[in-house]
Amino acid sequence: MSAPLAALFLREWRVARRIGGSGAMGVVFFLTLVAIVPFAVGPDPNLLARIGPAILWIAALLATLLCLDRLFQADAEDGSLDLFHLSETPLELAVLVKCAAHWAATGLPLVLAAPFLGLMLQQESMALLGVVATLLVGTPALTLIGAIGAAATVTVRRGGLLLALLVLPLTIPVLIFGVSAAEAAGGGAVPFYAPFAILCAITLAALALCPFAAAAALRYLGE
Amino acid sequence: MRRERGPYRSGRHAPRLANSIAKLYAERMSIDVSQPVQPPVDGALRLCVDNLGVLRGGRRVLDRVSFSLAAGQALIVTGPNGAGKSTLLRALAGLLPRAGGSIALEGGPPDVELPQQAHYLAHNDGLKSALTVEENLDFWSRYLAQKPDARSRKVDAALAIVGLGHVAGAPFGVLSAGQKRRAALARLLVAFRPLWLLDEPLTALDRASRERFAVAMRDHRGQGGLIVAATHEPLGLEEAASLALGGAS
Repeated sequence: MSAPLAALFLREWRVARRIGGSGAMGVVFFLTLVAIVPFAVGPDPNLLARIGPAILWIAALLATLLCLDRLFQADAEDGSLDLFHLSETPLELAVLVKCAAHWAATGLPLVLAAPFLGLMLQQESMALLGVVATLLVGTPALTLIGAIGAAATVTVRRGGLLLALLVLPLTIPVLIFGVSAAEAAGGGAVPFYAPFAILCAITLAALALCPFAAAAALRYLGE
Repeated sequence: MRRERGPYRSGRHAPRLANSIAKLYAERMSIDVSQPVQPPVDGALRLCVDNLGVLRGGRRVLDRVSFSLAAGQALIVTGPNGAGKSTLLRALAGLLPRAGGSIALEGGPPDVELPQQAHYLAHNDGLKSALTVEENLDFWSRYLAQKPDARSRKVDAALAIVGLGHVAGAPFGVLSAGQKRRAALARLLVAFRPLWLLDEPLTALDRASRERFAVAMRDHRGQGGLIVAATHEPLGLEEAASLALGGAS
């Protein structure tokens, strides 16, 4: 990674760790969501074991979206976004690095917290491993797809809800293959690798496409 | 504070040097016809704006604006509110699309676009409240100055110039309005870029800070820099051209 991009990563990482800790907030939200589900569906261990991966994935999706709305808005408000346009570093790369730092600060803690929350949902060891692996591969895609929404709502005050409306339909494929791979790891008729490979493919496609889409939105809205 | 890079940097010797180079060239040319054209000398930048028009919200805010500015010169843009001063600066920075005309910075390195040779300072400081002043400036120095340049200053030197050395380790968010502005001005110093586009740079500054910034601007012009500033207040720039916008409402 070249010096300007490393500097940008460091800056984003520090900001995420310092302002009220958006990373910590995501994890607490994740914990709360997972903790209230048994109150709604009942404490039946078999039921929780069956729907556990889906609960963890939905909670991870919502926790990711919760933290995303400030991804570009904070930079637009303090004028940094204008200065990104003046840099020799392409905006697409800046978007990619911002997403990477955001994922490291908010997505990675979700992945690390998932096995502990999985224990609360009666997940067996193989299922836990499956959930962690799919979240590790799938949450970067959620962040990258969310970045398009964050860029498109950069000029909207309180754009969080609009962001969720825009982004949630786009995350359906990630959710389908993430949950089916996680469930397959816990046993079942479906092999683990088929949905997992598709999940990897979705993440790679998001990695290739989303920075361009988000940067295009930022360029258009910056004018 | 001003750094000279060689005995011939100051203006007094330049014409004599140019003459002798030209004479040398003329002598060489008669012998060797395939001499390459002399590359543009650093410091011979020229900002040319020709018939610039900009639309905002379907309204023509700027219409047929033309001026040109040579290295070391400054331009003060004046005009009533809504006359298009900020629009002109944003268009120069490449942040707004042109609706006609042209903007060019001639004489610079051929592979670098105009926005990448410009500093843009507007109402927002572009610095993060959660980071310290030093961290903020360190980031911009690495992000905006990608090629090392002897005219870029170190972060602590830039902070000393704007008089903020004592708060370098404080979070940017706790500074007063004037101190924030001075930190934003220090951003112009940590990464050398020849063209400064300043939109009301003196907001919230006290008199001592204005004088310090006037010195910094003079140094910048001495290094071959160009300044385009939109302001209502005197900036303390000597021999600055002025461009009055207005009547466009």
